[in-house]
Amino acid sequence: MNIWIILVAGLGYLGLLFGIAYWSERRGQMGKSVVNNPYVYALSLAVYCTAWTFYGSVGRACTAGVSFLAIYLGPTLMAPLWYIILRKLIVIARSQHISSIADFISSRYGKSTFLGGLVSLIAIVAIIPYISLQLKAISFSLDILRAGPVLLASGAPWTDTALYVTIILAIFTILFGTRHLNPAERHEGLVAAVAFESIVKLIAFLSVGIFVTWGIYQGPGDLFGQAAAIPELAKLFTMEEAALSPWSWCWLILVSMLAILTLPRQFHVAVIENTDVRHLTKAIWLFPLYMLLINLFVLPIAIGGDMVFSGQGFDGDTFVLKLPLAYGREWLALLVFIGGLSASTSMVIVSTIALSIMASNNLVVPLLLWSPVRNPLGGQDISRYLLLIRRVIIGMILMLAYWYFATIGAGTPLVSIGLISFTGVSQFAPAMLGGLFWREGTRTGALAGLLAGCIVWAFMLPFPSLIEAGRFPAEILTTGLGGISWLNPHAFLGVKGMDPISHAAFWSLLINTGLYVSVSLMTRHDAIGHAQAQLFVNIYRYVSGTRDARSSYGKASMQDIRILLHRFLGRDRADELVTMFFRGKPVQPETLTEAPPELIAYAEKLLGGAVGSASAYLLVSSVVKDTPLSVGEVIDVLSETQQILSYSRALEQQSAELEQASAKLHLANERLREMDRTKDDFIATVTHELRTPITSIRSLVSIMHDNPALPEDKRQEFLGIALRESERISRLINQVLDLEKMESGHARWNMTELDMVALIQTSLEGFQEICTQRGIQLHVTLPARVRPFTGDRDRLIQVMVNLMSNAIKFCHETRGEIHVSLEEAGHQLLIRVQDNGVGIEPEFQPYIFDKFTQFNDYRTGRATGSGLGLSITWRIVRVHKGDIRVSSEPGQGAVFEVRLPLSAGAVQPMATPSYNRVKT
Amino acid sequence: MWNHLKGKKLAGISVLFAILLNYPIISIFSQSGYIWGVPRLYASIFMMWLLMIILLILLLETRDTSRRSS
Amino acid sequence: MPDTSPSRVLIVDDEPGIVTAIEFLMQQHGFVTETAYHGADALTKIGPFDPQLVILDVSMPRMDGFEVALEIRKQPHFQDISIVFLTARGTESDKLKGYGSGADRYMTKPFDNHELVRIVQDMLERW
Repeated sequence: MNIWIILVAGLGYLGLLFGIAYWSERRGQMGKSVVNNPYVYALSLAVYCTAWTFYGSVGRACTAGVSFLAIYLGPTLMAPLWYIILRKLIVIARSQHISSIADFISSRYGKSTFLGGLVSLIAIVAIIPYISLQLKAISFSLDILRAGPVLLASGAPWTDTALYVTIILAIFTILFGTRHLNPAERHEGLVAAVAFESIVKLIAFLSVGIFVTWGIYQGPGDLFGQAAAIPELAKLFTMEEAALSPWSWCWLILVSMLAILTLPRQFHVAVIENTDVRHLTKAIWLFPLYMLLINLFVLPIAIGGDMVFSGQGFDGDTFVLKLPLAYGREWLALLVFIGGLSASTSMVIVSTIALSIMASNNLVVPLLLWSPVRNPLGGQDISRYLLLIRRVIIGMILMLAYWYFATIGAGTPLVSIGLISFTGVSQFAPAMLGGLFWREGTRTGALAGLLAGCIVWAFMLPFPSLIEAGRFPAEILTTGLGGISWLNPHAFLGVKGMDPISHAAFWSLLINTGLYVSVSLMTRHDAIGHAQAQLFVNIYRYVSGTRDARSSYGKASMQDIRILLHRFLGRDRADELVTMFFRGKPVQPETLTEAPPELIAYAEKLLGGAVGSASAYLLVSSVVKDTPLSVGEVIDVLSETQQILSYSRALEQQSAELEQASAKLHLANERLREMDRTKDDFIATVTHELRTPITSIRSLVSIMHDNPALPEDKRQEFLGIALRESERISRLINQVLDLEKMESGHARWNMTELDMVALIQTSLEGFQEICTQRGIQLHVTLPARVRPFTGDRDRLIQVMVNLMSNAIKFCHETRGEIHVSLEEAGHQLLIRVQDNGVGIEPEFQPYIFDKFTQFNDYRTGRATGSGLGLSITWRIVRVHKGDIRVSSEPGQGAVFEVRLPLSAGAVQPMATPSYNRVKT
Repeated sequence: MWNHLKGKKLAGISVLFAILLNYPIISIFSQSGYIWGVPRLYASIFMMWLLMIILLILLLETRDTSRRSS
Repeated sequence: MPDTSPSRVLIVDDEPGIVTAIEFLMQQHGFVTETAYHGADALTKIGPFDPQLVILDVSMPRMDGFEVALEIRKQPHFQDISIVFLTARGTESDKLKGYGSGADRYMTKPFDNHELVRIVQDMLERW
């Protein structure tokens, strides 16, 4: 075919794309977006189908039968899960201004710059071969169409079609993606063009399919009937005979399931360019339908091509183009060329733009900001240079892709290169999916998993391809790296019988996931890591505009919001930010008494920067009316409690003190996080226990707030209650932390030899006076000395103090008596604490050491105490291998007996909570 | 429009077809023979694929279209 | 013709702090109050006091608020008393149980003072 026709058609097509992009951007600016539409969204997702699909599937089908379908079935199986996964990704990306998958992972794991840079780097390394695959496809399609020789053979770069293709694509991508900077990283024009290309490639491929099936043959019956007579073709019709192992099939499906989420270009179109999360529901079935259609004729074309070109030794990758040419259908061939061009260019443009966003935001800019040369950009606004940086990166990525094509990739089939990339990017999946649903996933865990997974991947897939290209000695593939036989890239640890892709996918994902999970469990979040994990995993709770989120911000006065911001951001900065918020809006802050919902959301975000998002949420909740505080994790409620306390106490305090309070809050957050791994029912109970004092405080404080003229005695009474209740909260928090520490095995036990006589005397010192005040007679019977006991001094004092407090609390009101004794009985020490109060009913006795079992004071019917003291006591005694028992008759008082074995050896903290202790 | 139950049903569809389209179930279809002139394995895969899409449409489109007509 | 005598509100909660706060709020808005610290206490006081409205906590020792409400509703001459649950237990099933046991309103703690007063006023007006 005439080279000029091809060039005009190709360049004209690219021009048309550019026109569509330009037109749709104009429409978008006029508020009539064509992109904001579920069909366009679904079609843009079809950027998944590249030249690999368009040309490579046929080639794959010629040699391995049905196996080409696996990488389309994977995404099809993933599509229904988008409802859960992709939706969450989109909501997070929108609210957190995520710009790429690297940004997502970095942000989730404590805004780690290093992690973001690493992901960007891996993505570039993994995707460049894949881009080069597209360059290869475009250049070979050009070569076939103009029926010239494959120019690569001549060697001189300027005679190489692919080089020109690369340059044109670079210019085109720069024009597309970097015309102006958009903070949301959205490119309406790009999406419109990609959606259009998806239609073109589908039509082109279906046309060839129909031509082959009904033009060359008389329908599928005829086509397959003829093929059945040829044994080499007939064996493609079943899996066993096509030598496709169950393993390969399964792994291909799995890897492509992950790739549809983690490929940078898919993440870009599916998450970043999404205009409305509701479009997902259409895409979930439209996208699988698209893939079904584009695969429908792959096998007929492969079989038809094989029969038509029988014995000529053509590569199956070329059949789509060669079949129309062989039958003189030049216009059809031109359509195919345009279709292939669509498939390649859409992939190249979107991938390159996605990679350039990553590389500039997560690699170059952080490096520039950190570079030893102070302010290399002369202190100017860095965003002005961002476009230039992006353009340079786009050029570099495409040149690298060309280099890869020219040196390594030219001889490899399309599909293999693509699968190497798929396996590479699927390494992001554990960190990404874990980051979405598993709060315990830490930065160190993500880093360990990613690094290890990528090293394994690099060793098992790209490295052997370099070996095959002659860059490394070939014997590595037989004898292993450095002659170590288990270091064989295709048979790691001697594992055999898997194809290279399954082998690499298995090992890399296994090691990646294993390290991610285990290292996460062994390490802890830092403050920001914790806040981000909380935010990402529970995103619906924090984001407005979705059903599960805080359904509506209630009402809050402008004054309250202002005060809140003043406190945490300083007066000047807060006023400046509020002014900025109202800039360009029809209303002005001075005219408002009630804060608009967007301002409340904005305030929450600003506070989030100062104190962490969870705390900010709760701070805002404290001024927003009609918003009941959220039930949920005890961590939030605990930190919230601290917050409300410091907030209500500090109504008239200086901001400096508040800064301190927020610093403390950070610290508290950190400590409270230690209780992450508790059971839900326990959390619910703690939450419940906390609500009660919070309720009193909140109600009383707001009475005082609403009634400035309250009589002094009332005010004193209310303040007294509020103070007592706040002490109750701190006590509860401390006890919960204490207990959790012991239960999780994180408590440190400082075991020394102790004189228990002296220890009990010390413990009782403080109680003498209290007893005298309350008219309680305290009888202490201690021997002169007992054998030394090995234990934790402070904890054992705690035991005595808890038992004594208990005894005093429940002692007889007027004729109180408490007996404390210690004796050495055989191989144990026996401590008894006896009171003469109301006693404990027999049916309650078995539960008395359980958490939150409260003694009821039957005089008022009221429970006192947190319900944790005895639980802590029980645990301390158990750690010392001792035993604690209670015996009591109602009205006769209670006796607590602690037995401590004198031979107590090493301490074994118990890791399992004892919810069902009584039953076992 | 988002609800947990729907999410679970969708996940169920995904798991169901993941099982149907993998070994060992798929080996049932991987036999010689033809359905409407198309090799049995291919015809079966595409029919299951289509069935899955139809299920997705039924689940995602039927109730919503009536409610979102405004 | 509205009743000119002030409405009577019985406050049942085992937390003295909360009782103090609600008592103040109710008295401030012209209601006559009586307090009870547990279920049995409430049931003995409800007869003589004859309230129009009961503010009832759920989690109380021995007899919880649900049982108290059921007990109140069993008596024919208490049918017209409004019952407002005020509790830290805010799950759907708790709410269902609350309404099932004869509550007219279900509020969760911590509550907003103004809202509590508004709800009590609304309900008593209706009454």
